[in-house]
Amino acid sequence: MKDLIDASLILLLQRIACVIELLEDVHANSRIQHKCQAVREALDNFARNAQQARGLLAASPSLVADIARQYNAIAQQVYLIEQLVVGPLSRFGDDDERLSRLCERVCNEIGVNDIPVVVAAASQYFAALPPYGLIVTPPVESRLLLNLPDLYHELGHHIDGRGERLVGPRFEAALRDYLGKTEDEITRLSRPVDLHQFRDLIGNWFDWALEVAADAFATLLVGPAYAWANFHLMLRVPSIFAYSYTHPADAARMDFILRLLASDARFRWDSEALETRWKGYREFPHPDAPTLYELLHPAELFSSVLDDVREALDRLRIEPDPLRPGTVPAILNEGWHRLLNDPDDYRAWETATISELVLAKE
Amino acid sequence: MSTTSQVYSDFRAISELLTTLNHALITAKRVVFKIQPSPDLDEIQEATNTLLNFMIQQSSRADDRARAGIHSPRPDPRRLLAVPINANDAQRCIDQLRRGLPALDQLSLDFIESVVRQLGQSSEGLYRQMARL
Repeated sequence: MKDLIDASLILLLQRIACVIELLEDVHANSRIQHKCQAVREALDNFARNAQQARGLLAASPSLVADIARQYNAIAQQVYLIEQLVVGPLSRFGDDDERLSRLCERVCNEIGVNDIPVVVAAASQYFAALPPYGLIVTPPVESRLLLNLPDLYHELGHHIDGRGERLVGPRFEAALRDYLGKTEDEITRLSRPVDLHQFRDLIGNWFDWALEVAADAFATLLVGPAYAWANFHLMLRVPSIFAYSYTHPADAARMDFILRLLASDARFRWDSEALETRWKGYREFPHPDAPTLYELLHPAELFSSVLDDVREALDRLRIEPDPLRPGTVPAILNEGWHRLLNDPDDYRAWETATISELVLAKE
Repeated sequence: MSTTSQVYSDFRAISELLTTLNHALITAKRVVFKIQPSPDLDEIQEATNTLLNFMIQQSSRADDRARAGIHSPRPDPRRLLAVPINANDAQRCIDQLRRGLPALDQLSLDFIESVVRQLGQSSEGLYRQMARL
């Protein structure tokens, strides 16, 4: 067995060297040069660990099982960084360049200096990989406009993941209060709720809070266009009431986004239009809400995250102004209005606007 | 809208910790089982600190979580990767680590290994999700 583990470590070291070669090929592109550095450091670290494991195996063959476990941990990291980061960066093309320029413009408008690179290479939907300063989108997003509000959601993840926390003490205090209050109520009123299950599931909020924060960040910065885009996304979600370990239910997120919009008088038309359609859509037949849906999505936890996000925006000196003429959010809002009011002419307008957006200098 | 972000963030945090812990555990075994060549003093000190800090952190997190009554269905880096551990076993291990790696007995080594394995299982689940395995 020792020989196979050693051979696997040798192969892993070769693979790391190849991944580094691939990375150096794209290093010439100035936009992604800086991002490559963090990836290179991670790869060098994996190589050191693999080399160290080989040394240990040679010196202590009786510990082969422990070293096999170490190989496993290092190899997983190498393969994932190759798949998720180096692969997309190594194929950085025109679509990626357009999206990255647009993202740069968005960051300049709001005053964010740590600008992510955007690559149109997601196998699922929009995602952020903050350790490497990367945002990934589905392949055609640089050619379309109206999903781009989701870029702001990912920018929220990027900012939080790079060290400027969006979720903080207000949420933590609210979660403690809510937990105590709800457990007390369940016990006192003998409500037919499995307390253990509730405690297990409410722990999801440690992950959910960041998703809600990214929603709040995007809604504050983009305004109604984020709500329209979110609604549009939800139309292809099988169950609007389903929640997962990482994400609260889409319906609860939509309720929150609409509450936030309704609190700003500038968005009254959109807010009412969205509310009407949302009410109508909720009345369509949907799969039933899962157990404890209501108890797990209290408005007060959403609001506490929003308070933390507002504090973070103040700290970062980001002043949301989604309707400021000429800005990306204003264009996205105009886009949604045009699509809803004049769908036949929308595509021509979109094509012209995208060209202007990515070519124009601020 | 970005499961990938959260899952990768969790995976990365767990994997990095796992690599460090694996290495420290190997060093501990080399010391306890007197495997030649012995690790040098710096390696021993680093492994002791790694294992001691991890055990103290896990132990304290487990207490906090018990007090708060919050149990996450999976480890989360925001909560410093707390895995469910037996408080008495953890304390016994911490006491021995405070006296240095040579003080670790087989029971404590087995305990550390079991905790590291649990972390490995968490990391594997996330890896399968990310790598679409």
